[in-house]
Amino acid sequence: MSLEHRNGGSIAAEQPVADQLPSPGSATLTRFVAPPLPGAVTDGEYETAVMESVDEAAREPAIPFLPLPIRRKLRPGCYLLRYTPTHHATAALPPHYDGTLRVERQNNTNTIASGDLYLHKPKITHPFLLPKEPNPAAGIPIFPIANYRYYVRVTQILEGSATATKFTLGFELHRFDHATKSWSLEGPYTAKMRWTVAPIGYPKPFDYLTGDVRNAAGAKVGVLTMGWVSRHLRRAIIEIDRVPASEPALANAAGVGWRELFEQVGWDVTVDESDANLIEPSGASFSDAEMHATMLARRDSADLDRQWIFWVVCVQLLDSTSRGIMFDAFGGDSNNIPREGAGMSSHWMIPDADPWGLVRGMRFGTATDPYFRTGVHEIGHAMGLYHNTIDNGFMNTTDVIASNAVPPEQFPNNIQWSHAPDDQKRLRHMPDLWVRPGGVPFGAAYSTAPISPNDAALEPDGIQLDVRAVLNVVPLGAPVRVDIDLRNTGQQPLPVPTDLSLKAGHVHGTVTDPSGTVRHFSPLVRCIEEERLAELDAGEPVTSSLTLLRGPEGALFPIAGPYTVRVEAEWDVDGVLIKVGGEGSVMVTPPVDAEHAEAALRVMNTPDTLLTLALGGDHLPDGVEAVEAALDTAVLRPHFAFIEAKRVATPFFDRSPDLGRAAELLDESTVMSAAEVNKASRLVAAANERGYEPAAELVDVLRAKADETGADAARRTLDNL
Amino acid sequence: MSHDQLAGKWTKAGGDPGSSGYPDELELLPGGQYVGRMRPGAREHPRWDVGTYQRLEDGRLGISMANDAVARYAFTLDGHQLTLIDETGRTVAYRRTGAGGL
Repeated sequence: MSLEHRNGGSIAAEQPVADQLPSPGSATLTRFVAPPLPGAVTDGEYETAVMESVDEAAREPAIPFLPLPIRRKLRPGCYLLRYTPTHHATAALPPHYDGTLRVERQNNTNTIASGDLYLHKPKITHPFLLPKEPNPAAGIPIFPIANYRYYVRVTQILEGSATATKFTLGFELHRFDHATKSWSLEGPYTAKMRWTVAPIGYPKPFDYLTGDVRNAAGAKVGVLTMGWVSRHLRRAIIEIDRVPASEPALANAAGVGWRELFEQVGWDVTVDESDANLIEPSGASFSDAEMHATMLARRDSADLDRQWIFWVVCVQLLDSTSRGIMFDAFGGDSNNIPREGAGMSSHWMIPDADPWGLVRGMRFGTATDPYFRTGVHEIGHAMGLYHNTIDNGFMNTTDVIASNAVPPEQFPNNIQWSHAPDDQKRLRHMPDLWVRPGGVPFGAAYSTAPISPNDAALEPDGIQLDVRAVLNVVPLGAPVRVDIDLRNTGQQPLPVPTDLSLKAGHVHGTVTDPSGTVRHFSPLVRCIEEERLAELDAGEPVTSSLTLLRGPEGALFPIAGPYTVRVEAEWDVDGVLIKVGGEGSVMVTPPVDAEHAEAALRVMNTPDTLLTLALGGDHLPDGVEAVEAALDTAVLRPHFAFIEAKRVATPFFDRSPDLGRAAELLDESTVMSAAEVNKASRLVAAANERGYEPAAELVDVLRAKADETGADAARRTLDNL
Repeated sequence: MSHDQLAGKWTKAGGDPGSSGYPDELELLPGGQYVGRMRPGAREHPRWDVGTYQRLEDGRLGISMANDAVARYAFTLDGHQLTLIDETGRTVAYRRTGAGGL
């Protein structure tokens, strides 16, 4: 399954179809002449800056490129959804269902989508005013709980080849029974969704679609419209109240707070640090009932039909547990509105014993990392999540994470500052009533609620991805260079990407540190105007190299120890997602002296270092200075020399390429991947064509590196100088 | 009574009405942690899913729950039969089906 939509070019002027309903937010049906639709979504809104890509594929394709048409993509984020059943469509004010559709794109092709629908019976409140509809300009809409009716389980977004302006949306509607708090399947549906221009009020005029909904028998049963309203999937408020003696749980020791952490799962979280003067009703320790009563008395808003508000209270001690609790469950929910709040204890004393590591003997509120993590964990329960020991993520228990620390790493440094992958999916795609406060009670099995399936990916036999580090051992602070070979081990030619560089968009991956924390990398910039596939002959490889430094979670290799690098390549062949992965390992050694430690820290703490590495240029002084600091250390210089040489050898506005400086930087100790040697050779050739004579020493170094790394393309380039 | 005496794999052997939220399978680990599981197809998530258990000063057993509350249970261990009574008087019984250990 894939969300791509092949866009063959501009679209003719659109006119509203006769049975098209007034769209949410529009006062009247408007006649319009649409400008040409844009091409593929290429802006940077969902392309997180994470790492650098170095090179195009080093191998010439076995046959000429097979360029595919530019594909139109469904923009990730939240869509305002409206479903109007046919039998209501002819009514003057047809009842319909409003809701949201959440579209998540993982990497370039893998897509998961889900939605929820709420009944809306329009009412005339004034003879000259149209009934009120959700305002798409206001972002993600929130609907009353009592109106909830359906979960939209999206099962298919594209099957086979798409036409220029349409794709098929396959989905199931699961009706919610408020009495039994359960969902039941009503049946599968399809909708041929067509891009058109949005009514006034939508933030992205060209990310609006409409289509007829048909049942399994092919009969039209309704009309579906969807218009993009936010890059986030869901939104919520977290109100934090506390007694005067307790610290507010706002962020971890690195300053990463609620908002940043929930960005990882597409939630737009607003933190409301509110009352700091809560009264202790019966001494320092709160019972569950006292927390619940305090919540009802002191929270800023209780209107869960208009806002998703989760309440966190920080108190000195808790009667019913040590560190934290989601008290609004089981017998603790006195108002029968479940999962509204959680409490945490600032004055619990961490045992002065193993396995509490660096925080043993501390008062909990002063142990910033585990204290804040507990708040996120408890609110995870309020969002319908249960304990999850698959990794050291938020829904694991503090005890288990502390026990999982592997020396020399100590708790709490092994905390994983993210949700486990399955919990991330739940937060993005479980039904609204599962995750929103006041929805279904805590305690039902996950299996009782529907959830959209993952993209089905084909992992074909006969394709193998080999991943190996250029150097098996690198010093702390150095980028890690990885060679990748996509190899056809079968007997038949197979269509594969010709370019495995990150910027081509087919490759992404993870880095697992010595404590098991997983960090991600994906393209910093992605060129998706054109996907190039070529038939790869049996036994042949496509090769490339990656240079890894940072990801969305920060430095990819922040501590010394063994790491596993997993690379996955994905591409789409006629709507079928092909996926193959491989792993390699690398050892990161600790600082050898203070100078190395200081330079490594600067590199790891300077996000612009990545941009300098990936983009070059002179416009990022922090990044350039961090690289220069690394070059000033004997340990890191070989690892950064090419990065700086590439920057200075590339013209930047009116600055000419400085091949002399590049030659000074590169020597036999310089660490370079084959892709980097190819890149350097191309830069030298390009400068030579512009009349800059490369230094003989530079050419000699590159020839030696080409021999060392097997960079055949570089040899040819240098021979042609 | 130490963790070692309770450690092991336990299977639910019965209980009062309303005890259906307790796990069908319970593994008490020697270090004081536990894992609870439901049988496939269960409609409820186990109230004891992952957490800790410990003998309390008053002789009861404290077991952390799925929402991180620590519930207190009077309990008896009779051979391979473990019976727990919660604070509302509800009983749930387990039969030992395996030795303890991680």
